[in-house]
Amino acid sequence: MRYLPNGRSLMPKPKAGLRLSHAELAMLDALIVFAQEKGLVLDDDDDPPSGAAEVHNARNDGIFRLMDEYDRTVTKRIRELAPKLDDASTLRQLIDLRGQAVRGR
Amino acid sequence: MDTIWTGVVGLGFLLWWIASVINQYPLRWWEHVVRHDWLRLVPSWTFFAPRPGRRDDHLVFRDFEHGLAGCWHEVDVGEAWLPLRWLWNPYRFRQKALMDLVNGLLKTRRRYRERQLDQSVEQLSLPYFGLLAWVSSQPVATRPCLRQFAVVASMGHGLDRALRIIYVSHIHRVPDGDGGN
Amino acid sequence: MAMAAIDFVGALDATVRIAAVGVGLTGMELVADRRAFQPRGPFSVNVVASFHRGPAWLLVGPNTVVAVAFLQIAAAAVLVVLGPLYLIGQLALVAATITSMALRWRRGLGGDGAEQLTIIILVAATLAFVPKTSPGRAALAVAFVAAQSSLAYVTAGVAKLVSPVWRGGTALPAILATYGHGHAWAAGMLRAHPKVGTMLGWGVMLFEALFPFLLLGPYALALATAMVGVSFHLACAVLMGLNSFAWSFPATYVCLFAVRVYLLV
Repeated sequence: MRYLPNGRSLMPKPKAGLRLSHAELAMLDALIVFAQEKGLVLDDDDDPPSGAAEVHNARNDGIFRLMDEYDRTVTKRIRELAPKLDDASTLRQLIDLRGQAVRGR
Repeated sequence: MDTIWTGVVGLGFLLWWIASVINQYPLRWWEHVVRHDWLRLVPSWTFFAPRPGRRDDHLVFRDFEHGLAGCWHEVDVGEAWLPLRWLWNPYRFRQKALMDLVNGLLKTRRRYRERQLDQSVEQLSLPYFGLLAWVSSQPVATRPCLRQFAVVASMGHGLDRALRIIYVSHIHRVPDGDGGN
Repeated sequence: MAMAAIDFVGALDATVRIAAVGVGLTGMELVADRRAFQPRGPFSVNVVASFHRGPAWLLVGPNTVVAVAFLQIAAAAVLVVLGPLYLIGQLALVAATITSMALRWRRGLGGDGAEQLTIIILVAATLAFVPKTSPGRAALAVAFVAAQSSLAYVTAGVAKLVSPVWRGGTALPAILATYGHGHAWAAGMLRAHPKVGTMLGWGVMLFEALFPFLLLGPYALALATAMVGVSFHLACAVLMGLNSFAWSFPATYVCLFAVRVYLLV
């Protein structure tokens, strides 16, 4: 470690801001593995939703309440189509599969 | 004629306000009605309540090459300059967009669990599509590209802030043509 | 009688002008972060099309979005300077309303309560002033905006009052401990002085829940309530980055005072 005559370090301080730092990104794998090994469910059930979303909508529906996102018939069809999900599906494949669920309503 | 139109407008305002009042309550039957509010004119006014947000969301992704996972990268949502943020905050839309998608995804997960759907089915939810589309549009280093995303929550400021993984996606192929550089 | 003495047209005019400042700022912010509409951004056509139900041809590209945002800025400037009463103001009002709703629709995501209230103000004002100014419809619009504003405050306050997190005093420190809607210095202060956080939290809850009722009190109380309201929204802008709220919500105070005069005189 090198120092200036006034005692300040020449190493730049890591900038603390919204973005995750390199160190934080590097520890994500360990966090995921740890959670999975402990059998923790990755979820936010014990954590409230983000404040900003509440700013828009009480129940965090935002735009999704306008769609059939929560429609029971659609979700039932989605369950039926779930076996068709491939490993490494593309977004287009997922959208098409959901389209089948919605049209089949 | 003008009087009639004024009457119609007045009635419209009254119905609009009544709908607004009803919309403040979490009523399942009302969701079927308000789903047709395409113009999104019926507001919801419960700011930061009853459950205030206590986290910042981060959307991260990584690619797999020859079966090996690469480094995580964060999707940029910008950060306002604090001294001027009270007047000028252009990145608020991006940050809010991420929050909308993440909270939509988590709510979908809760709803699907209530209906006893398998976790893999979350891939067919709209918020999942939004997040996947967003990460799929980020630069791709190698082809074919297999990409996975995750949502990380941070609590607090500075280097001592706490991190928590709140969602890990399945692995998806990013087709050629997606993922501009 | 009382209605003839109350200038509802003037009240709505002032409300629109104040809200229009927020409309213009929002347009400028969208132009400043137009990258968000480009391929890697959250509002790119690909991302929005993945979840948005609606005609795909309406999901216009970033250049069109920027053009619409510039139109919004111009319309807002006209409204701030000239107001919505004359032909050019009426055209600007229609333009501001349509562009605000269109840009919100096009984004699909990222909206907030300030935008919601601004659009309510603009739509109500449009119905009052277009195609020609109607004092009767202006009165209805003023009453409607005041009713929506009151509903917003009361709902926000009551939703907090029923929350154990808010009642326990930990909500404000927790919110301020985020980057997105927080402030490191303020969060540190509340951590060091938790009772202050509790007091402020209760202050926010009671202020919001009682806001419209306080305005019906003696004039000095009503004025003080409005000043506290403006200060509250400014504080939210400074500490939480909620800059757009500082325009849309205080804009409704003019309508609230007009209704106050009508009810109490």
